[in-house]
Amino acid sequence: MASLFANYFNGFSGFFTPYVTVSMILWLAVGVFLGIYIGAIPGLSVTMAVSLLISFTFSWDTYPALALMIGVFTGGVYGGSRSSILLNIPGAPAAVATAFDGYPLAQKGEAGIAMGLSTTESVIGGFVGLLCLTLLSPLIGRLALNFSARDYLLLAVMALFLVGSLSNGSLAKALITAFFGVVVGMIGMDAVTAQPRMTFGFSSLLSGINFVVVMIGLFGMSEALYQLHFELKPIKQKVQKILPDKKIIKQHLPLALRCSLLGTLVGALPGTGGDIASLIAYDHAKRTVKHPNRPFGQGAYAGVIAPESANNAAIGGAFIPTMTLGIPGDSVTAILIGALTIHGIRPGPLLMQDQPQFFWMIVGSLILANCFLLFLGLTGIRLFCKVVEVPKYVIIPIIVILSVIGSYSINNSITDIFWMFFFGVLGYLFKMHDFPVATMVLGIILSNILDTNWRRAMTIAHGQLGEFIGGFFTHPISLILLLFVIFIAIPNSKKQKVFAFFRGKKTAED
Amino acid sequence: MKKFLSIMLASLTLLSLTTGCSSLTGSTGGGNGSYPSKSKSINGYIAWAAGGGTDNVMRTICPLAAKNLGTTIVLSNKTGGTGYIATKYVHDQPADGYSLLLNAENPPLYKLLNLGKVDYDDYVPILLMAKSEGILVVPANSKFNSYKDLVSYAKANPGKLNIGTTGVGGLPYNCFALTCIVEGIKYNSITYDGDGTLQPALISGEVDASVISQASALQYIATGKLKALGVYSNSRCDNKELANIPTLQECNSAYKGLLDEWGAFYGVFVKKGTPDNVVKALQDSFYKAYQTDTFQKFCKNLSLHPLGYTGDKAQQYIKKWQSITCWALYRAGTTTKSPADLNIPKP
Repeated sequence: MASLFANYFNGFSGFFTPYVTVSMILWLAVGVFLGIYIGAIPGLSVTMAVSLLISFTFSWDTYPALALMIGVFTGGVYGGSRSSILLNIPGAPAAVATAFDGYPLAQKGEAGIAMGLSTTESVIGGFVGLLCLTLLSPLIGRLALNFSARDYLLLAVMALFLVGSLSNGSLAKALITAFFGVVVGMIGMDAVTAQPRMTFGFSSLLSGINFVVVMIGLFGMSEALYQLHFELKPIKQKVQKILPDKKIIKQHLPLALRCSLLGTLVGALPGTGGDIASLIAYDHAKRTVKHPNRPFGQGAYAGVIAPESANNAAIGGAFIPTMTLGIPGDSVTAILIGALTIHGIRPGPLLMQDQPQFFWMIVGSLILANCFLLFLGLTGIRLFCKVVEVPKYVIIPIIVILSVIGSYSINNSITDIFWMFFFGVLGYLFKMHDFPVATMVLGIILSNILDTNWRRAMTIAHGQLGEFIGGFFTHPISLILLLFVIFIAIPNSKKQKVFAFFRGKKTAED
Repeated sequence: MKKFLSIMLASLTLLSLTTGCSSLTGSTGGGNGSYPSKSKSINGYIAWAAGGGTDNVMRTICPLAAKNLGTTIVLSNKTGGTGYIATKYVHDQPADGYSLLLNAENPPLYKLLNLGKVDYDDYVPILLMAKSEGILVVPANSKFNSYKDLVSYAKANPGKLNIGTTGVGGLPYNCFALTCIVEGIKYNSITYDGDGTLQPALISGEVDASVISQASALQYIATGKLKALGVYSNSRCDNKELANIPTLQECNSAYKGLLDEWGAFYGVFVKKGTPDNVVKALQDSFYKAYQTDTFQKFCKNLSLHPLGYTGDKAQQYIKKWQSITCWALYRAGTTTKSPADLNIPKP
């Protein structure tokens, strides 16, 4: 293990570069500010913004260009939570879980508190992720590398348990929508066999239906239709308290730390990022927080704290494989690798060896960006709260327009707009009949991971079920994850019985 | 009053939206006049994801070419279907030179793999800018130390060797099909959705072997994370770190003739039927961009071989690649259709 850390702190001087280079400080701040507001507008995603920035900063020097993109990344992941809380439209996939309790908080007039909480927890989560990036990269990088297809499968199964958590009321309805989501996620060309699935001969369906388009439709469009139906009046917001109560933060600090660590690890896994991290974190919070201030789904603070700390921690996590191995930890770091390559820098083990100060420069920039997030994230909250108070006949058309623009901007495809409307109507019908919409989004997110990794794991095991199951017992990571899954799956009543047995005569609570 | 206000707002919004709509087919006023027209920008559609190999090459050369043309090239990624989605989309646009297809080496395989009916036969190559070659790699602690070790293991244990691929028609897939027909081995293909998930699997040993491009291979081999067993080319690599990897031709002379000028390539294309003056303007500007120091240095950094083929030379290159690869895929038993049905000549 020591050999992993030998030479790790070479080039540490690079860490201070962002703090002494004025152009970097400037562009980091600009980036965070832009990122927050880009992320806050539903339909405009961080991924799209960063890829636009590549062309925009093509002729710039590397360092300022990088500072701008890092700033936008940091701000954007947080910014998505704003529209989740205010409009029930996730600004980004990573903010889906924030809407579960964030929007009910806004409905109760506490949008300001929710956003303030979201900012502080994002910053806390960000720092934890960056701490791991700074001190533990080689270790976490090695760990993330050893995740096999089996382990991804188990992670997806863990996230699947969220279906139960989100089924307020009827489990059957939640399962139906989740199932439907999984099926929608499978439309398109199958990666393994290159055969189209459920495309009915349309070549526009070969890459499937873009999941962000579905999300905008299911959350945004349907919400607009739902509110039109019920003619809801906007709620007056309490805007006096924005800086959240220190007591709330302190009380939930252990939860925030756990979720941040979770977020860091999930972010460090190539191919998974903030969206999975926040969903697993929400599920974890729901299972471990016994006495939330309100029931989950109706405005529990823990329901905002958990996903927000996880998705910002995932930023730090995503940079671990990106810098140490040259393998992107999520979609935005993939674009960042491209941007760096165009500027002549190839992130990866060779860069760590030859130019270690570059790694430290990135770490320094990320930390500075996170600091800016704290200040800039608390701006404009009062202004944004006013958004919720805008009369519905103004805000609903704006939501519709933003949804259309957002769906088009993903792939420059008119078909996506039609899909968005279709899922909007579908989501409206779901809401009218108490079918949860969130579980459908969950199904779509997990569909690909479940399907691909199951088949991959079985193929690696040469199609032999025995070899597949044996793999769980010969690989420590798989074994631990399997035990976790079993533990989560056992209903609470049975668990209490086992604990009571071990505690002797003491009676179990609850 | 409220009703009147909302009707006014709605109509204003609708009107402002329609001004944003320009017909996709573009103004016919462009005609045979000057290309490119000052009022229109050129759209470049990259068939692969942002941050990937094709994306990097295109985002480097297009701004340089745009400067030569005196206009802007707006780049966007239209991914999916091994590049088919972008290929079909650009084909649906008018052949006026304002929609460029920026794709890699996969389209000649589309008809054979049943992905669709549009491929490079419907396009005119503007420039084939560079190519890269695959390097056969195994994890650092693999028991295979040479190409021969790998092949003898595969022959002794048919179907047991786990090979990582990036999907049907990708570089590892094509390379292993070639090896399959030369050596007659059977292997077990594990599919990953791209380099981003394939490379961790290689480094951790989840798969036994795969093929990756020189640029990626360079950093892993130089830092000891992967071992290289051979390069799918008829000449060794230029970089000093990769120079002692034997070519597959050296390992087995049966590869002779199959690896000449073979590999992954990147190109700019316009739809067939585009006016000649437009094609010439595009070819000139892209070739000038190709010759710049910026682009050449970029290729050198990423171990890409600059090609700079245009016109007939490009067509021949593509046809040769198609013939070798299609017949390799067919003979390896991975396709249902035969290239003979598509009139693809044998290599």
